Amino acid sequence: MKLPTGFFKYAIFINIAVGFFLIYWWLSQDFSSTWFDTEGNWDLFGVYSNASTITQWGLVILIGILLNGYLYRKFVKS
Amino acid sequence: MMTISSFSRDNEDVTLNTFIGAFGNNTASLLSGMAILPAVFALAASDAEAISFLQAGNQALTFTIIPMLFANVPGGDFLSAIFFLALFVAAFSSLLPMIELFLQNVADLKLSKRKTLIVVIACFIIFGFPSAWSLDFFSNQDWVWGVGLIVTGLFILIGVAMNNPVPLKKIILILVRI
Repeated sequence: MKLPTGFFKYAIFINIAVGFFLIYWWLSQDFSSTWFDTEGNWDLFGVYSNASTITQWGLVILIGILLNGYLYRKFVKS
Repeated sequence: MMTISSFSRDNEDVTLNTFIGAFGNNTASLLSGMAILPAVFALAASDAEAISFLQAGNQALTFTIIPMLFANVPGGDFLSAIFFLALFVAAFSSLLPMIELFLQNVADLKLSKRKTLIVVIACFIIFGFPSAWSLDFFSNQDWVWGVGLIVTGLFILIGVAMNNPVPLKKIILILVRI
């Protein structure tokens, strides 16, 4: 089965919008919408807290950005 | 998916296989959801108990509701054994690409096979132990990186969009056929 090129291009761009919407939707659910604990601290250890989710994503993205140049030189350029 | 696709044969239709994979996975998920929700409400003593089961997460549904369900149907023992065997096979077959993906990345560091194996086993023990020890930690990681898959997909999509999707599609198809 061969899909037309136009479909591929359309699917890529529409899925970016869908991705952002899905992230917003997941993080706005009642059980995950907490950012701060009862004492007003950043709720890093809440099982489903947005604070924990965003912090861990941010940490991994930061590590990825820091290692990006090294990984490119190590695996792609060589 | 990327790991599995790297084992594709020359004559495989990547678009069709991806479509079938995504369609099959989503269909199975929807059917499971439609089966489990009525089962929870039918087996719980009250609506409040049913909701508490649902809020307890996937583990409670799998290891509490499913055994209760099979205990109430004819031939439930046999069906229960088949279900949990299938669950084990599904979990194991999901684990293999994860191991392979990590193994390939470590192997790219040009380590010896022995060192690669040691690194992979050590990482699995170190990063897997907290989830085995604490159900809260497991639930947190399941949630954070389950939703995180959307973020990963977004990065790939943005990368593809920024680099013009059409030539990239041709490159991917050429690479797959090598």
